[in-house]
Order: sequence, then structure tokens, then C-alpha cells
Amino acid sequence: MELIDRYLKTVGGYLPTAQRDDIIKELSENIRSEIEDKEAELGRPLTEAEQEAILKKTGHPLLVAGRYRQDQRSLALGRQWIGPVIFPFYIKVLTFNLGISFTVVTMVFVALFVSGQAVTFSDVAFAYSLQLIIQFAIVSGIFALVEKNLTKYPDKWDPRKPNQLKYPEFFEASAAKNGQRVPKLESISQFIASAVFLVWLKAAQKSPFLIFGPAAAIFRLAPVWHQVFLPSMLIILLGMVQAAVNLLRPDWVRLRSAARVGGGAITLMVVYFLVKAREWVVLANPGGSVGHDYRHAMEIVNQTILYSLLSAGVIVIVLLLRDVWRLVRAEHGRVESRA
Amino acid sequence: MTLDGNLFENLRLELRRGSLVLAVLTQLRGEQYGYTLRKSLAEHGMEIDEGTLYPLLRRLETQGLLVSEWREEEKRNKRFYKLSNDGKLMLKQLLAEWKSIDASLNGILKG
Repeated sequence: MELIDRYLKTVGGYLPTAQRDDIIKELSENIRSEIEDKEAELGRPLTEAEQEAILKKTGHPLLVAGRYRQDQRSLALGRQWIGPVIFPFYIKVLTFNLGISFTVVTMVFVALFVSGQAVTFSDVAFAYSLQLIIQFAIVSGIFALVEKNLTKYPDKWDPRKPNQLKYPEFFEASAAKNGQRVPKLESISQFIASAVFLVWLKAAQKSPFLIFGPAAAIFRLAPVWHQVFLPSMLIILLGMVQAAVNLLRPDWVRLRSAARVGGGAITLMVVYFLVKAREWVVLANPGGSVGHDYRHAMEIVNQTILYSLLSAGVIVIVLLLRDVWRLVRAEHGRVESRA
Repeated sequence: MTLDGNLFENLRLELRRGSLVLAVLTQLRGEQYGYTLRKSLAEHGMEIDEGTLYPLLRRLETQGLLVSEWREEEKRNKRFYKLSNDGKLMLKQLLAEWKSIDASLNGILKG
């Protein structure tokens, strides 16, 4: 029955924790009843190949678990692109990326509005739509590829091959809770979010329109942003490398803690350097005939950025202290368990 | 003109999917657990994958059409399902609809 147990464990790995035990108990009963029925019919125990045939008929663990999910939320355009199992992670990444880009766009438009500039509905709608389309296309595309890979050839999976039954590691909630391993889907989500952010950052560096929208004709990023561009890329790349390594080695939990501490320390330095600059947005054409209102709008944007940076600094310090504490505690626990 | 096999399979599945809930509700007028329900449906020519039927039972229970309880049978704990009062009412309405569709289709076929 080792094969059955492994199959059930795999299905359970994809299920929400609250329902997992109950569903697995029921599914286990049904599969075992079928096996007993077949054994009674044949008058002998089933071979491993016969048990395997029953499991294959029950279905690919990922698809079976997906059908059990209560929410059944998915992204479907003509056909299903992102299924219910990875959908919650897709929404998490999309919301995070949209949150960042919408905050920047909102900040610019609020400043323009407060300073008395004409902000038309079409300008606002265009800027938000552009961000939405870019983020939606990139994040959905990447998650659709993940989904395709996970559900590739649903009928051609082999329950005997251990590498095809490793999926519980994606959602090994209890192990993750105890800090024993990094859930694989967390690593995938982190990698995708970082990659999309990296592409956006690179594109925004060359095209201020991606940040300012129609206001790009008025504003430019101050030189300080170009100075912190490389360290920012380094922080993102560090996170991507850590996510990629943890994807292959989920048990390297200390790597995640160390990467967070390292990334947090660099982020703190970047924030400090930025705060010192005192000017983050400049006029695109300072020598031109810009009115007093644009200068006022620029001052409002800069003031908002200052408050945002100070808040970000406090958050980074708190997170950094938390990560250092976790790392120290994990090290302490490791030394104690060795002793 | 060649008949597209995939298209037929998709349409066939769509047609069966519509009647699946009706078949399950009808069969659960009497209490059954997952595996025996699947067997009894198969005996009546309504083959359903385990991976489709078992989640469907839970969904119907969440919708209030079924009630279930864990009970020991043959020294094993099994989850038994049966129609709830709402389920009985729903089955009655669905069967009436089914008969109406059947009559209409027969009328259309006879020209």
C-alpha cells in the first residue's frame, strides 16, 4: 500500500490545510474499498501494476486536488490557463506587482492634481490601464507556463516514479510552518514577482513614461535613482537566486533567512542613500518655460517620496531585525539539536 | 468532410456533464458512500472518474443538496451521503426539466 499512501500524500499536499485530513480520509477509504473489491473478485492481492492502474484512473494528483478546492477560482480565456491550485499564488504576485506600480502612478497624479494641474480622466485611465495590461500579460504568461508544466500530459504520469510524486513539497504547509523547508510555490512566486519587477525596473529606467504616464513630459527621475539602480538590481537578483536555489533545495531554509538579512541590509543602505538625496523627481525641462505650478507639483511629489522613504526605512529595519532574530534563533536551535 | 474526433469527445463530455448531477442526485435518494455510488452509476452505464465524482459529492454537500455522515461499516469508517430536503426538492425540479427537454428533443427528432 506504499504506492497508495504516497499518492494520497501527494494529493494532500495540494489541498488547503483546513480540508486536507477530511478529504484524504475519504479518498483513502474509497480507493481502498475499490482495491478490496477487486481483490475479492480476483481472489488474490492486487499487484503493484494493478494498484497503479487504479491510481491512474483516479487522476493526476494535481488535477484531483484542484477539483476538490472549494473556491474553484481560475483564469480561463477560451481554455483554462491558470488552474485552481496555483491561482491563489498567481493573485498574490499580480496584486503585489500592481500595488507597487499603481502606488507610483497614484502618487504622480495626486501631486499634479493638488498643484492645480489639469488631470483628465483619459490620462488617468490610460496610465492605470497601461500598468494593468503590462503586469497582467507578464504575470499571467509566466504562471500559465508554470501551470502547463505542472499539468503537462495529465494521463502520462507514472505513480511509481518518485520524481513525479514530489509535489507535496510545493505545499508542505506543516513542514514550512515548522521552518523545515521552503514551500516550492513560494519560491516560484518570489522568482516570478522578482523577474517581472526587474523587467519593469529596467524598462522604467529607459522610459519614464512607464512611471509617470503622460506626466513624463513634465517630470524625470532625479540622478540619485540611477545611482541606486545597480544596488536595487542586486537586491532583486539576490532574491531570485535564493528563490531558484530553494526551488531545487527546499530544505536550505537558512539560505532564505541569510538572503533576507543580506537583502534587507542592502535595502536599508539604499533607502539611507536615497533619503540623503532630498530630491527624487526633477523637471524634465528645467530651462524651459515651465510654470510655477509644475514646480509646486514637483515639490509635492518629492515631499510624498520623502515620507514614503522614511516609512519604508522603518519597515525595512523592523523586517531586518525580525530576520536577524529568526536566523540567530535557527542557528541556536541547530547547535542545541547537535549537542 | 471528416468528423473531428476531439470535437465529438468535447461535445460528448459536455452533454454528459449536464446529466451527471442529475444521475448522482437520483442515485442518492438512498444512502451510499463514494465508491459504491460510483459502482452503481457505472452499472447503469454512467461511468464517472473517481477524480470527478468524489469532489462533486463535496460540492453538492456544500450547496446544501446532500448531507453526509461518517459511519463504521465492515470495520471501516466511511462517509455516507444522501439527499437533503433541499436536494429532494431540487431533484424533483431537475427531473421535471429533464423530462421536458427529453419530450422537446423527441418532438424535434420526429420532425
